[in-house]
Order: sequence, then C-alpha cells, then structure tokens
Amino acid sequence: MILTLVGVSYGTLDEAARRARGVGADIVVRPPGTSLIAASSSPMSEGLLAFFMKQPHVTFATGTMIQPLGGFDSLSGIDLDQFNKLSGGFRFVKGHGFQNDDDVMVDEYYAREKNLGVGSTIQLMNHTWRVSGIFESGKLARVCAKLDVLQTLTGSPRKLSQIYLKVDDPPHAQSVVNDLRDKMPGYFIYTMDEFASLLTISSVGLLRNFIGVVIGIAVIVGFLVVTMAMYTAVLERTREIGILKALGASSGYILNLLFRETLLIAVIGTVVGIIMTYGTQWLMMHAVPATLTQETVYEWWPIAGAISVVGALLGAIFPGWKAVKQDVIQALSYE
Amino acid sequence: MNDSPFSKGADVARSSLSARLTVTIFVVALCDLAATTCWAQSTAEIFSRLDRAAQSFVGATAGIRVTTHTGVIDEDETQAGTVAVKRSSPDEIQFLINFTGQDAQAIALRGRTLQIYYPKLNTIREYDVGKYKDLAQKLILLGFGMPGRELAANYDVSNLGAERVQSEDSVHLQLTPKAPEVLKQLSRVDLWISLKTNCPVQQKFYLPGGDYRLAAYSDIKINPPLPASALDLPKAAKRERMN
Repeated sequence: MILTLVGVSYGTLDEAARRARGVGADIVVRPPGTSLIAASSSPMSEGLLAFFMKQPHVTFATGTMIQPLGGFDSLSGIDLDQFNKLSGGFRFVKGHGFQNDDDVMVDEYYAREKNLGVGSTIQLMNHTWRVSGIFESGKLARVCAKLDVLQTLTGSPRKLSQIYLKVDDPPHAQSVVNDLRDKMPGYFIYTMDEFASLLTISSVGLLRNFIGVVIGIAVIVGFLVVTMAMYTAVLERTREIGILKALGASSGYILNLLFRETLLIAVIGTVVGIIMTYGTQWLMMHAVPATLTQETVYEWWPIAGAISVVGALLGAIFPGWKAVKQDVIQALSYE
Repeated sequence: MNDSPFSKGADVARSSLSARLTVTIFVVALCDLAATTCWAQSTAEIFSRLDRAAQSFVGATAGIRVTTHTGVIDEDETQAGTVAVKRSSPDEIQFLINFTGQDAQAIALRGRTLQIYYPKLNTIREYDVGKYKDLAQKLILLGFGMPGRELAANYDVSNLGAERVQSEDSVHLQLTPKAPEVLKQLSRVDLWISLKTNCPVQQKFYLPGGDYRLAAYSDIKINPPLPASALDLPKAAKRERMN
C-alpha cells in the first residue's frame, strides 16, 4: 500500500514536471495568490505578453488558460501557432491541430483512457468538443482547446492563467527572473528548472502529509494484523509451547522463535508488496493511464521494508508476552 | 550697568516674550490635543455607527463596477453588474454578484461553497472554500453589514477623512490587514463608507506589485425586500463540484 501510494504520488508529480518541461519555455509566470478576491483561476491580462516581450533577453512570450475539470484533469487553452513556436510543435499520433472552434487535441494516454479517436466527441465543462488530433504525451497538458474559445466560454476574455517566456540564452533565465521579480512583486516567477523542482513530494505539503498519514495507517494496520495472526498462532500452538517449556525452553527461546517467525512474515510481506506494486502499475497504465501514473520508487523499498518489520515486531509483542506467561501444566492439557 | 533703564526694559521685554511663548505653546498643545481627540472620536464614531448599522442589516442590493488594474502595464479592465447581499444568520453573509456583458458570469457564496456560474456553458462550478469561508465573506464584500469592531479587530484602520465618492458623502478609511497571511496577498484596502447608508460606496484592494481591484457600488438599497430566490443561480444549470 505504501509503495503504491508513494509511487502514484511520485509518478503524478514527475509526469506534471515532464509536461511542464515539454513546453520548451525557460520561464513561467503565474498570478499572485489572490484568486479568492478575483474569484478566478485566470486573472492575468493578455496585455502582459507585450510587456514581457519588451524585457531584456526575452525573445518570446505566450500564455495559456487552465480550466480544472475535477479530479486530476484540466483543460488548457492555447494559441496553437504561438505555442508551436515556443515548444517546437506537437507530434501527432493521429489527426492534426484545431480546425474548428469546438476542437480539442488530446494526448495518447487521455485518448486511451477515454476511448477517443480523431473525430470522437467528448463532453467537457458541459460543452461538446470534437477531437481533432491525438498527440504524443509530454507537452503542457493532456487536453488542449483554442485559447480564445475557452476565454469566451468562461467569460474571461483576454485572461490567462500562466505565461511562458523564452529567453535568448538559457543561462540568462535566472537574471530575467530576478529582474521580473523586482518589477512584479507578488507574481510567482520561476525558471522552468525551479518550477519543476517545486513539483516534488517535499515541496507539495499536502502530499507530504498524505504520505505521512498513509504510513501511519499502514503501521497501525500492520500492527493489528500481525497481532491477530501471532495471537492466533500462539493460541493454536499452546500445547507446543507447553512442551517446549516442559523441556526447559527459556522465555527468551520462545520469544526468539516468535519474533523470527514475525520477521520472516514481514520480509515475505515486503517482497510480495514490492511485486504487487508492479501489478498495480500495470493496472493503472492500462485502466487509467491519463489520470494516475505510478512510478517504481526504489529508494522507498528499504523504507517500506523497515516500516513493515517495525510494525510487525510491535504487533508480536503482546502474543509473545502471552506465550511466555503461559502456565506449563495448563498449556500441556490444552485441547 | 545692570540698573540702567535699558537693562530694566530688556528684562520686561524678555519676560513678556517668555509669557507670550508659554501661552502660544499652551494654545498649540491644546489645539493639537483637541484635534487628536476630534480624529479619535471621529473614527470611534464611525465604528459605533457601523456597529449599529450592522445590527439592523439584513441585506442590500447595488450596482457594481469592478476595475482590475495591472500595475506594470498600467491597464484597466472593467466588469459591471449587480450585487445582492443577504444576512442568513448573525455570523453568515451570503451574496450573489452578477456580471453582465462580454465577460458575463455570476459569483455566489453560500455557506462554505463558492459558486461560479458561466452562462455560456450553462454550468455552475462549486468550490468548497473551507477555511477561507470567513475570508471570502469578509473580503469580497468588505463593509457590508460589518460591525466597526470587526473592522478594528482585523485591520489597522486609519481615518483619511470625509470624501465625496459616487455622488455620496463618505468617510475614507484605510485598512491594513493584521493577519500576516492576508497581508502577503493584500497590502492594503481603501474603503469609502457612505454616511447615508453606512455601507461601502467604493473598495480598493491593493495587491502586491502595484495591481489593484477597485469595486464601486451605486444605487445601494439597504434592507430591501429580498425573496429567498434572490441569491439563486439558474436551477437548470449543470453543477460541477471542483474540490
């Protein structure tokens, strides 16, 4: 459970970082955190693009509008010509770019998950869209529509959610960012490397807390399961424990037996858990490739193993104590 | 030499000057004290008037015109529409802002749910604002049915005096948020409270980086008959839960 959830967390964030890098920009500009006052997720003016183009070293600027679709999905509005200039263009697996106002382009994973082909229709934001093209994943978003259409439909003409900048030479990106931060305090302005580095577990507080909670639950569940299993084992082996004691086995010997068995169960459980993560990975890749991405996070294998061993050993304490405290005569007469 | 008539005259002149100086300093100090007391009373008066008005406030309707200014490009964008505010319980204010025109959309707050209606999509998006509920209630319609003590509790308030705004006599208050997390997003709010209705005629939210959002209210009606449906969004619209 731990490895799967950690894998999904890493996979989802890494996929988002990969798509952000795929934009081909050097700098990303996001609005100040005042969306509650504006009650909008797209509060930046398109007029800012001309301002950015006048900045030293900036060679290109384009903006996108992002509309959340619920869950992990979102619909990105792009000016296709401008975006192609920035990113080098989409690689289409099937179909092509927008031809009509109601056209959307989807990436291959989204198309597979929603069973879409070129010409299919899809209902997003209570609006019917036609799929004009399916592109290779890894660029900006999974679903893209025409920027001006999305702006009109949401009653936000000339409004943007994010602005991407290209500079003449990538090493200049940091100095441009510093300059812009001075001119536009409150705006979130990052180099793409900085932005991608924000998409990590340690930077996303909510995810970090989520993983902490999952680990806590896993330890408690592991503890309870092992306690129940070992307690049952001790009950079932009451006579055997009585015989061992009658033959002179010390408390330490009996505890050693129980703990070694627990340890073995924990290790086997960890190995089986690791193998099962490949199963969930395969399942997600085939059932919900656009929604959930699971990675194999090798550095979490020993952590998960340690958590499993500690949880199991803690769970074995009470049954062990029960076994040690058993009266030999009663144990031998146990049916 | 010291007994000369000249030295006597100089002594008299010196003591007379000293007496006049003392009186002048006393008068200036008195005026200063009076002026300070007068300002303090004025702000206190505004707060107590807002306290009284908040007690009888059950709702309001007004026209609204919001200007969003982007500092670095010195650009203004304007939205216009209407607003209806209703007090549903002593601690809860509900509102509906209806923007019309090219950028038509409606924003409603009900409890902890912020709803945004997009007419062209015939869709209502619902956001659970959770812990930001109070902030949404108190910030978006700052000053409507808000007691003065609440203003004083949440902001450092400066009284900038009387001004005529939107053809209404009003008092201009400058508010600096006390909460650091609010201050990060909102450096200052200017609030013009109508002397007639005790509701805001204008709010100016200063955002970091020189941007601001100016909301001007017109044709304000206090406690008008507001039917239960006055704050409803279209029933036929599709609802989407966003979080």
